[in-house]
Amino acid sequence: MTRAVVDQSRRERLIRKLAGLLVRGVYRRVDVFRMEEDEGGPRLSVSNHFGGFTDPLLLVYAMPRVPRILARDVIWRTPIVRSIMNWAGAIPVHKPEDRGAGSNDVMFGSAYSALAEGSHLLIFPEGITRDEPSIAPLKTGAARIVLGARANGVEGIHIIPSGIHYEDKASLRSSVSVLVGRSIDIDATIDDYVASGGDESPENHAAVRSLTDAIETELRRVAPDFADWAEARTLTVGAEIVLRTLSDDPRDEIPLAGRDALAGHLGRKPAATKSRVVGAIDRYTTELSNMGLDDAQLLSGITGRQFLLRSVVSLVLTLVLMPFALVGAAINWIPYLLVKAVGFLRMAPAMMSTIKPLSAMLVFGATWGLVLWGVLHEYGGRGAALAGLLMPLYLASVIVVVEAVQVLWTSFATWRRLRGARSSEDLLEARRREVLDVLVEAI
Amino acid sequence: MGEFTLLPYVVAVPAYLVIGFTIFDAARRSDLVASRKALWIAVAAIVPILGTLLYLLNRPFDDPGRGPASMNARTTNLTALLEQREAGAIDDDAFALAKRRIFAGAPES
Repeated sequence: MTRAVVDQSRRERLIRKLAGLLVRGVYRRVDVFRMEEDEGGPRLSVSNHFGGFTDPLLLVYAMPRVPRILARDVIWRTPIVRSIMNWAGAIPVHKPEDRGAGSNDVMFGSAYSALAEGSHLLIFPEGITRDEPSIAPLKTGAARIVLGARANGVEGIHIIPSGIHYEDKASLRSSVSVLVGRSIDIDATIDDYVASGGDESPENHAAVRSLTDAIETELRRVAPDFADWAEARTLTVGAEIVLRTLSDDPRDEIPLAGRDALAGHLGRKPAATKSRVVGAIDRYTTELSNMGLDDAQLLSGITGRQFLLRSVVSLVLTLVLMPFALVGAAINWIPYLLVKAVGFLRMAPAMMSTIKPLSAMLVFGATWGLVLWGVLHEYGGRGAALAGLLMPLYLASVIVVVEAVQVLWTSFATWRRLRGARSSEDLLEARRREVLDVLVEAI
Repeated sequence: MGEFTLLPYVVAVPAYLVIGFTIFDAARRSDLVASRKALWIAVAAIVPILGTLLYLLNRPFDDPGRGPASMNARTTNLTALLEQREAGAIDDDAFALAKRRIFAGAPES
């Protein structure tokens, strides 16, 4: 297999572009870290599953080759969605708990032939979306597809584990990171799953079980896998403390993928080590928050002069962009409020992570469509094209202005609180060194 | 009166910026040959707005996984080291040494 396989078709390019646009609209920041590059050839990606709609979108964005997604067949029952799924090359999976007859022979057949063509498939082996920061027991589908394809003569299959880490999956404009791990080379490791002389087919239950366990181990290495959300949050803060220490300037943004990899590493430590680390981090952050500070603020050491300089920059930026931001606000405030209202509905976070971006696309899309239609009638095609170009710029101006004001407010608060905490600064820094020692020791 | 003075600013200024961006971006791209760059710049200048729309539709997205730009050397080293450690590619002593090296370079907090 060569790089030629990476050569993408027109449709793949379009899918990637659409996914890129949506992802950049929905998230403020997406960090992708690939431990290994896809060299082409048959690949099966496996990933954790938090958000039914956003997970596949993020993976299409993060992976070098657009994957064909294996998804529950119930999704095909909605008319428009059905066409989209077919167009994107998705493969329906029948689940016994979904009513309606059907066997998965067709699914396995499509998956085998896709792998035989050297395609990239994507499956969520937990089989369900999940609200816990850990991996559910895996279904055996992924292992059966791989062993079955191999029994049908497909060579060179690799399984690529990926982990998606949401900062807050139910809110728009938050951050997310995608960790793409090292792949499992099936041809090289087949003897680990199949006892010598054993049957290398999906009928061999022991082999299916053992490959599924191997996939689970690799998935836990890249995906969030913590005891509970409290542990996940604390260890993530710990990883931030470490990476902030390693950064060139403590005011730089933390690389999310590196942070989540480190937090995951800490989460796999023995319970005793973990509780020591969690205890130290909690003590430090409690003392900080008593002062109204966080770790980034303590390290930023902002002076009155820096604050003044930042105020001037924000003010100039805000003034220059204000006319555009006002137009943007006038166009977008109704859809913004509608999406905000959707956020107040009571539903599980996994469901919300699907509903919220979808409704955002719908209401923003409808509003922009309406504006375009109006401009088209009033000023003709040229005007509509111009409006199509400018509307994203107007919205971007709103975002820039709002974020400039936020930055100004946080630096003001930091400067004021650091002044108030000056007497206890030495104590806090000593505490920070302690917690850092515990963390480095544990790594 | 106000809207008549504001309207040209709100529409014309960003329109010129958009055309300027197209020309600048096309000239700067490393994935286009010179003749293609010239073609796109000509299109953007002759058919102002539609040209830019066409250009943006044809422009590939940056690959998000190509080099995590936000990681400095120390962070990259630590991430790689942890990965080697978990893959069992490095023993206790070598790991401890490499870890000390990474954190020895860190600025005092």
